[in-house]
Amino acid sequence: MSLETLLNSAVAPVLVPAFLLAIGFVLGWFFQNKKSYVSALIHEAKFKATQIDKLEKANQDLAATTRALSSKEFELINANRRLRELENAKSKFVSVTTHQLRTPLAGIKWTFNMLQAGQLGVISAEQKEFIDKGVDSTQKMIQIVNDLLHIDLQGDGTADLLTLEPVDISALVEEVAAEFFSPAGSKKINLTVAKPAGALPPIMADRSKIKIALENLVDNAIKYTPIAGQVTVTISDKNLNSVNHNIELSVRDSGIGISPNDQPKIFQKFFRSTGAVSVEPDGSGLGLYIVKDIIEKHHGSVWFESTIGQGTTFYLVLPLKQK
Amino acid sequence: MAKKVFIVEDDEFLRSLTVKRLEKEGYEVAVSPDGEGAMAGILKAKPDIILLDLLLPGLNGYEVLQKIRDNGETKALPVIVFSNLGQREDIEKAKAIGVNDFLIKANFTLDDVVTKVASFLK
Repeated sequence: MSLETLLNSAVAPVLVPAFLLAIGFVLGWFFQNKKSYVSALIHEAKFKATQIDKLEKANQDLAATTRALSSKEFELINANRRLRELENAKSKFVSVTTHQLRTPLAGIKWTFNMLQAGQLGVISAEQKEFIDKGVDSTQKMIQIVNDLLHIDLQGDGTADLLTLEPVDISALVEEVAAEFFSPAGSKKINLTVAKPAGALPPIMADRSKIKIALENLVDNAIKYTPIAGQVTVTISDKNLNSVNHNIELSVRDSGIGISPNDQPKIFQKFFRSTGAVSVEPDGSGLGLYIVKDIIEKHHGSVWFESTIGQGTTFYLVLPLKQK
Repeated sequence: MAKKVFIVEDDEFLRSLTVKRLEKEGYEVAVSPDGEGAMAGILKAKPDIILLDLLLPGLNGYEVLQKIRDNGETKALPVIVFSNLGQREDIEKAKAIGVNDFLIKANFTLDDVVTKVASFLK
């Protein structure tokens, strides 16, 4: 059926208005929807605008934070540079003072030595007593200067370098002991060296540094042992076998001992135990710190056993070879 | 004839102590208080051994040592450096130029110096 026949038919008066009505509905619906669509768009646009505002704000905050950060970074770089300059200045100060102190100290020491040996004329027993005290004080001061210099060298890494050579440890121990026979003798302390019967293999080590470590231990042992005591330096090969390749050294004294309170701090830089201070008021508190530093640089270990009033034994273990 | 020791040391007190001690041992001693005059003094005095400080005004001890080693007349002379320094690099530097021994002030006594000098001159 064509459209023409349909319009001409009897149902036309009903169909046409119904059709127009239907179109009206469709258009109405369409515009209704269009209106809500537009309002949705407006809403969304508003929302986006707020979001953009927020983003812009966040962006500004971020820029501000970045600026603050880079100024902090600048401050940090500056602070770091100042620290390094300060460290250098400190190092230079210690180095210059210690080096400069050595000249006048040598002058004092040499003068005392000449007086003591009677090279500047005969001296009385009383004069000798005072001169001996002068010699001791000067020696202490020289030791402090040397300790400070050793500590200072750690800062620039120089002290980390070991000059390794094969060291005859028995000979080195004997050499160190020989240096202390006279100070031990003046306190009537019996200083002895005990070593295994057989020859020991050489150890790869920095001879001068190991010597400093041993000197510090023997010096302490004599210093903190009362008159007529006993100090024994022992070299042991008990850790020398097919599994272990270590030499153990110990320095045992019959001295004042270290109180349990002080024991954990004994290797700390500048720490001095109360017992030590009462026996020997002057001292840098650097000796044992340096011992530990030297032995650990050799991949060895150091520890002690001590009973207050009975004595202390320091143990050192050194590997035969350095990696 | 007495052996002759030449001392290059800027510190007046240390110099006079060392001179006194060595003269007591029967050595003849000549000195220079600075690096500049050292070489002329050494050539004039013709010593058997030289004690050389490192930190000197003007020419330093390393430079003096270099001059001693570069000069035909003095290149074979024993030189003992004694100094306030004594760090590895200082010792290595002096060794590289050709020093015979190295003593650090305050760590030795004048008796050690005498022994050292005697050991080189025997």
